[in-house]
Amino acid sequence: MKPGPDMPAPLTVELQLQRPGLDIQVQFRVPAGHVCALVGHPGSGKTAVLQAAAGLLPARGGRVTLGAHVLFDAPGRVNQPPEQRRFAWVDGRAHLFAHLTVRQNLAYGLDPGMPAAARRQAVSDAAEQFGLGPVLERHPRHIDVPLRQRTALARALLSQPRALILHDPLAEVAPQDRDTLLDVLQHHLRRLRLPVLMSSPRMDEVIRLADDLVIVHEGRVAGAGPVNRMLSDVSMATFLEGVHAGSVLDGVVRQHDIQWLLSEVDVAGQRVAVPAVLASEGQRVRLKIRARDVSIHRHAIADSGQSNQLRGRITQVMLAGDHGSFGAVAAELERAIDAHGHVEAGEQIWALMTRRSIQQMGLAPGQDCHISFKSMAVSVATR
Amino acid sequence: MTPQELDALALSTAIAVLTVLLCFPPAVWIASRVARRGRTGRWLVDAVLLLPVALSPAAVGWLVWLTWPAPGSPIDRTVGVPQLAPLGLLACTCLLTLPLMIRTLRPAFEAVDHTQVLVARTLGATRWRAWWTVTVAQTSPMMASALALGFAAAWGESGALVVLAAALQGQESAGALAGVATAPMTLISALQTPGGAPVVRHMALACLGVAFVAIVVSEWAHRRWRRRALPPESRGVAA
Repeated sequence: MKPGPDMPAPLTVELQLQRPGLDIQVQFRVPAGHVCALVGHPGSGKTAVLQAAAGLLPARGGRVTLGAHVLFDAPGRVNQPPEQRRFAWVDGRAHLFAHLTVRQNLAYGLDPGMPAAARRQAVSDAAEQFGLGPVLERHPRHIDVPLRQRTALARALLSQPRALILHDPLAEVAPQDRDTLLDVLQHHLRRLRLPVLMSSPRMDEVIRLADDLVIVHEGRVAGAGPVNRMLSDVSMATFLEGVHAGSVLDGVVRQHDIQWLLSEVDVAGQRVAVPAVLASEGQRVRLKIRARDVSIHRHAIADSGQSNQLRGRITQVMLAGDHGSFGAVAAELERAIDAHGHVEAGEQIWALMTRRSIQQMGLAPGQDCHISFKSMAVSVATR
Repeated sequence: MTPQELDALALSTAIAVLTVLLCFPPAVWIASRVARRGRTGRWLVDAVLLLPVALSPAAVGWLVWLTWPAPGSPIDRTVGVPQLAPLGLLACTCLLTLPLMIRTLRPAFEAVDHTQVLVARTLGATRWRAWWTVTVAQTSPMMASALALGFAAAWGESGALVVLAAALQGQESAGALAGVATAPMTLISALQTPGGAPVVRHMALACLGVAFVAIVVSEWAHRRWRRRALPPESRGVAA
C-alpha cells in the first residue's frame, strides 16, 4: 500500500538505544495530526530517539508502529529502512542538495511513478504555498537561510511522508526571521494529518507548535502529556532548560480594548486581560505566566481594578518541609459552562508563594480560591 | 613524426586508457570505504596507499618482475604465462596509478555530508538511489579529476618500465622489447641513440602536453567540486 497523507495513523514509539555514556529507554505515542515535542537538557538523548524512530540509527530493542504498520520490531526482527518508514526529516541545516536547483530539490521525494505533468503541478503548488516561486530555478547556495528551510519543509511534505520529524528546524535562522517561519510551520502543521515529532531548545517554539510534550531526562521519559499541563507543572521545570516554573494556559481572544491597548482572552470561561496581541478575535492563544508572578487568596481582593482575578480551587500545596522560605500552590481554574453548554477543560495554574503566606492564609487542597496576577506578567503566543 | 613515434604514442595512450578503466572502479570503492571515519585498520590502509608516493617506481617494477608467473608455475600450467610486455606494463601502471586516484577521490568522499544521504533516504530514496543522486552527484567532479590525473600518470609512467625493459633485455629477444616502447621509454632510448634528438624533442613535448591537459582538467574539476560540494564558509580552507 502506498504511504500517504490520506491515511492518518497514530505513531507509537518504544525504543531502547545505547549511545556513548547514555542508555536510552523511551516510550510515547503521537496521535495523527498532533505535534509532539521532545524536550530536555542537551545530551538527554532526544536526537538519538528521533533518528532511531526514522530508521537512521540502529536501536537495540523496541517497537515503532504507525497504525497497523509495524516499522520496527526488535523481537520480531522487523527493521524497515528509512525509505520504507518515510519519516521525512527536516533539521536546522536544511540539507538541500547543492547540485540541484530548488525545483529539483522539491521534486526529489516525489513518487517516481507520477506522470510528468502531475509532478510539475505538485512542485509548482508547493512552491506557491511556501513562497518559493521566485527562486525555483536557483541553487540552494544562492538563497537565504529562511528560504532554504522553507524548501526543506516543502520537499519533505511533497515526499508524502507518513510522519514528519522537525529536529530544531529553526536552528540556523536568525532570531528576527524566526517569527515568520514559525507562522509558516504552524500553518502547515495544522493542515497535516500526520504525526509530527519535533525538538527545539527554544521553549517559545515548542509552546507555539506542539500539542504534546515528552520530557526526556538522561535517556528516560520524565513526563509526558499535553503542553499546557506539562509546562504548568512546576515539578517538570527542573528538567527543562530556560523554563521558569510557571503555567501555560490555552485561551481564545475575545476582544481588544483599543483605548488601553489590551486584549481580553477567554481562559476556561473566565476573562484574562493581557497587553494587546496581534491576533484576531476568536484566535487561539497560549498564555505563559511565571509561578512567582501569581498569588492565591482565599477571598476576592476588593480593589482589583488593575489585576486579573480568576476563580479556582486549590488542588495541591507543596512545601519543602518546615524550613524552606517558599512553597508552591496549584489551583485548578473553575470549570465554566460556555454558551453552547460545553464544559471547558480545567486549566491548572501554579503559584510560588512564601511559606509564611501559605500558612497564615491556611491554604489547603480543596479550598475555593482567587488567583491573581498582573497583566504585564503574561506573555502570549498565538496558536 | 615517424611511424615509430606514433606507435609509441599509441601504446602509451592504450596503456593509460586501460589502466584508468581498470583502476577507476576499485579506486571509487576503496576511497568511499576509507572516507568513513572510525573504521579499524584505517591507518594501515592509509599507509599502504601512501607507500607508492614515497616508494621508487623502479622498486614497483622489480616487484612485478619478481612476482610474474614463471614458466612451469601453476598459473603457466592452467592459463599459460601472460605476456610481460603489455600485461606487466599494465600491472606496473595500475599499481602506481590506483593509490593516486584513491588519494584524489578520498577528500571528495570525506566531504560528502552523510546526513544528506540519510535525508535523501527519508525522502524515499533507496540506498542505491541515494548513492547515485547524492554521493556520486557530489563527488563526480573529483572523479573527473582522478580520471585525468590517473590518465596522465599512467601515460607518462617510466620508472617501473625501465626496470621491466632492462629485465626483458637480459632475457628475451628485441621483439619483446618493442612491447615496452611507450612514449617516455622511446624518449629514454632515443637519448642513447646518435641522431635521436628530434625524437627526444617530440616525445618530451607529447609528455608535457598530456600532463598539461590533465592538470588543467583536474584543476577545473576541482574548482567545480568545491563549488558543488563544499559549503561556502569552508571553501578555500578544505583541500
